[in-house]
Amino acid sequence: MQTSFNSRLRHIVIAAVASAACLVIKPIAGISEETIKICAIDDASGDFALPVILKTDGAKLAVAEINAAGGVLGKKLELIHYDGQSDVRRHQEFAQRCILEDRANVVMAGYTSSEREAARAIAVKNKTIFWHNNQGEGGIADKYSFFTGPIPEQQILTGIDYMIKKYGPKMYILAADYGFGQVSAQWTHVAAGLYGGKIVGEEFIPLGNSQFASTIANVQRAKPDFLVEYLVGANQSQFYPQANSAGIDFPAVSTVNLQQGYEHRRFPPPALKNLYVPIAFIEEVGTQTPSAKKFVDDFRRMFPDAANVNQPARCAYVAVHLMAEAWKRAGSTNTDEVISALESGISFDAPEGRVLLDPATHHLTMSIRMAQVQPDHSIKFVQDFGPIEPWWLRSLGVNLVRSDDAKQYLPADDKRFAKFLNK
Amino acid sequence: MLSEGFSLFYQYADSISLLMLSAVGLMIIFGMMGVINMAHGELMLVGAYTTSVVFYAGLPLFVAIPAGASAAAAFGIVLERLIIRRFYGQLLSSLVVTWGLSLLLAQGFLIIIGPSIRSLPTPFGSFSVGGFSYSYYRVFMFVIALAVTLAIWALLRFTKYGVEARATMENPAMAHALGVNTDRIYMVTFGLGAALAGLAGSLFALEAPIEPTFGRNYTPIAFITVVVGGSSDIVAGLIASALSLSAVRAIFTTQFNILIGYVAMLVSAFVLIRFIPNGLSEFLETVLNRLRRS
Amino acid sequence: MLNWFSSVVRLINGEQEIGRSRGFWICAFAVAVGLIVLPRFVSAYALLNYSYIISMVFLALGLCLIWGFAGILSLGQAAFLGLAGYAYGVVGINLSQSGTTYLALIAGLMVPTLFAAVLSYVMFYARVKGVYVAIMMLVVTLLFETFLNQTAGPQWHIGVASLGGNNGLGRFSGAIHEPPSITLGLGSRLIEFSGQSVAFYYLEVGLLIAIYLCLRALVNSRFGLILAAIREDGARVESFGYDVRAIQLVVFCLGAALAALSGILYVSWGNFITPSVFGVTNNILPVIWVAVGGRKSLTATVISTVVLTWLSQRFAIQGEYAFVVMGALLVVVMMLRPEGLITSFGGRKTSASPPLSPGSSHDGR
Repeated sequence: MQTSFNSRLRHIVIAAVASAACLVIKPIAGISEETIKICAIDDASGDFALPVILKTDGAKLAVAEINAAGGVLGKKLELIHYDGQSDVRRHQEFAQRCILEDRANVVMAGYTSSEREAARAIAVKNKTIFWHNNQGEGGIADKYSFFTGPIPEQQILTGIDYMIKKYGPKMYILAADYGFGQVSAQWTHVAAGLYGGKIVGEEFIPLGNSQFASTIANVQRAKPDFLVEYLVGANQSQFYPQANSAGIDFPAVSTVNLQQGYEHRRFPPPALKNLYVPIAFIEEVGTQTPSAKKFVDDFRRMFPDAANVNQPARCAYVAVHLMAEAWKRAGSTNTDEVISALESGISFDAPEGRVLLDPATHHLTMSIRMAQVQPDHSIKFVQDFGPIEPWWLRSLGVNLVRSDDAKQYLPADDKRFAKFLNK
Repeated sequence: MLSEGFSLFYQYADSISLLMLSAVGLMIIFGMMGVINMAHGELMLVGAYTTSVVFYAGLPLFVAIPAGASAAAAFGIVLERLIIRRFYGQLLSSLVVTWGLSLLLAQGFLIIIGPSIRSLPTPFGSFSVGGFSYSYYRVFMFVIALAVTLAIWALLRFTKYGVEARATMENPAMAHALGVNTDRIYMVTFGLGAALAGLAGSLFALEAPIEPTFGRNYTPIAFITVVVGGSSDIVAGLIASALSLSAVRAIFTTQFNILIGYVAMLVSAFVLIRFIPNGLSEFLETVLNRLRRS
Repeated sequence: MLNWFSSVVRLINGEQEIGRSRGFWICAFAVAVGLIVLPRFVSAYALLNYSYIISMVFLALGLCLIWGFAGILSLGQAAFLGLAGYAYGVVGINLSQSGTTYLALIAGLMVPTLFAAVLSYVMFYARVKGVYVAIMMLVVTLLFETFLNQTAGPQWHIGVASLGGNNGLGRFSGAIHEPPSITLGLGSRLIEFSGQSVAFYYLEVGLLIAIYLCLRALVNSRFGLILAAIREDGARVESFGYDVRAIQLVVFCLGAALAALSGILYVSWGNFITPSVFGVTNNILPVIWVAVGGRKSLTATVISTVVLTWLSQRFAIQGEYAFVVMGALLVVVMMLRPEGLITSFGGRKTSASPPLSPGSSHDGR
């Protein structure tokens, strides 16, 4: 009994050591040809798979286009994709893998802020260029970090101003109770202050919450002119059908919906009727500009099973093209030279219009349009705001060309906003 | 004043129906068979998904919803025959194995079905009481929750199955010795619990987008409700637990906000378990017995 | 002196743990040597990954101790891991001037252990048992996650360390302060144990070997035998005059301390922590590792944790099947080999496939 066990245990140990050996040998044996490596950590499984799968597709489309046109600096672009599993620790592990093992030239990662920061921390620590290809709470001023998604001064200020003019000053804020939601709510307070709005109620919803009976009652009690919704995730989006079936009929503005999770395609009408979203890009922009139409057509041709062509897809697409342009301008893949190239004033014909990468803030000037969801869930573009610059960080004195702040600024950091923000 | 009162009552009833519907299936399985089924959320998903498919195939809701419940029942019975059967009476083992099942099924469904399924439209429309507008559908769910609970109670009290099931629950060996086919009772009971989970999933799906993680949102709360209720009397435990936890949640939510309501509910669950370790149903029984004797 | 040494050896080699023959110890020695020379043969990235894997072993050992040896299943071990990480990080960020992290280490170990003491006093002294303990721990970890998620914002800070909510400790508002890696030393001679460093790896290997041996001795000591007795039949042990609740409290705190060690090492490894460490998935993972390996054996736990974590990383690279495989593995093991894959080879326990909760039905209450 004893000896047979011990011989088995020995076998187990040997097997374990052998498999460890395999792990060792494989990386040494792997040789890659000369390519320029883009490492993408995107969730293909877990809670965020739905919007993020399309982000990877957007990057793939850009890589295919650039390689078909001859690549960059005589080399092909290679997209290495890891499934972040909607998990923060995976993002840490894969960011390290991208940098230490794959020796990627650039890392593009993160959908939620925690995923983004997990990967970004490692990229910055290892002095690697990092792109965040999604909308965000903004405010990050860092030498190595670049952003393709719209930010509060482009969406929130614009959107709230529009709604106040159209519907009246009273607004009720519903925000997800975490960083992004709280910052968006703060920006809404700023907008209310700047444009003569009045906040008649504000609720922060915990991330896992999916029940809104109390919220619906509160909203009705407050009688706002419109709702401001920063609801994130599948749980919180249950507000829409619940509010609808309770007969709530307020117009609403949101910077979150339509662009990632294409809710107007998934929720049965008329749950999202009269929802206004100031967008940079959704698939319907394909009817507004030729470059968007081409982007959507090419995307659907390459990915015929794709459920939608969403904003993360457009962000990843733009990011890859901007990097290609920067590599060309720098004439090399040396990180500092590429950063200088990125900061030399690069622009690109993004699907929704021309975008310019602002050297001082590493964010994009982009065109914003107001989308209104119709009762049948089709989209009508009711206003074109044109290109809006990422002016806020610059107004705080940020200039990444000269100095690296390595910091995240919040609305509270802006003295001019102090009077708009509750203490 | 009256409309505020109705609003509070509505929120309270709404919370009760949510807890009861999500927990009733789990409670039956826990109470009858001493099994904690952490794959409960996935059974709900089966119900929701089936209802969606049937509805979009053109059939009306009153066909689609029972179809969802039946599909969940069938799926549950398969699971029971293959896996769960070996874990009767083993609370911790069943918790662990069904949690593994839950992981496997949720990810499996994601791979097979994809990240999202067409959501269902909410029926019935809305009504007003004193300046507030409410959803008929939520009232409908509350009515269903009550009806289901009543039906379970009647089933256990008045039918042959109910007697046999209760006997099996009390003392399986004795029941078996007296000629009860305990194996079949277990199978039917698990199927019933699964059907109720599927029903809950179908009902919730009429107001929520259906994703593979859909059920997982409800499982922890259902689990907590069941454990607070205790298994010595299923129906009493379920009702007592749902009433008390919902009361805490509704009061703290309306007084403060959703976060505090949620935290207060969790803390009260913690406190209830600490002071009434075997569940509310056993506590109520003890109290009633003492009252009867005195 | 020799007497003391031989009695320690006898403790380490006691009956409560598998692997006692000379063959086993030769293998174990070989593995230890392998671990020590490993850095010379693998890439920096691979070493980084191994460091991560080893850091999780302590969490698993803690659960193995309280579940396999004392019969208490906790679904909230990650709560102690997370609490330790945050405590260590907060103190470390605030005292980063001093250069060393001694106080941060003390905070990281003491805060979760004290919290565990309070929790276990509340639970065990109320005679809460079985599945109720599991669910109370689940509630605790959910509370932590919910609370910390909404701590974004400049008002949520302890000293200089902003809790950061979802963005991570030390981030989100103002300048980014990363939780430091363990830094030990005196005066100007400092060693920083950062995740990528070989020093960190050796620190972990040293801790692993030391703690493994100590735990082996512990489970074979009188304390360990009492634990096993409590697991089998707590009422009877009580009737012998032992204060079962106090013993459960002690072992629960020990389990929490081990989870805390994992938390500190995790933060030192990655300099990053978010509320997601408190999530439900992170709490089920150690249960899977311990159940699959064999919860009644420390050795089996170590092996299965290493293998399963490594496997899930490999699968994650391949695609979306990681969770499917982990879930399936747990189900299969529970059905076919509930004793655990590794311990069932041993045939040490004479009883065949006993249930995870001692006794018969409805016992978990």
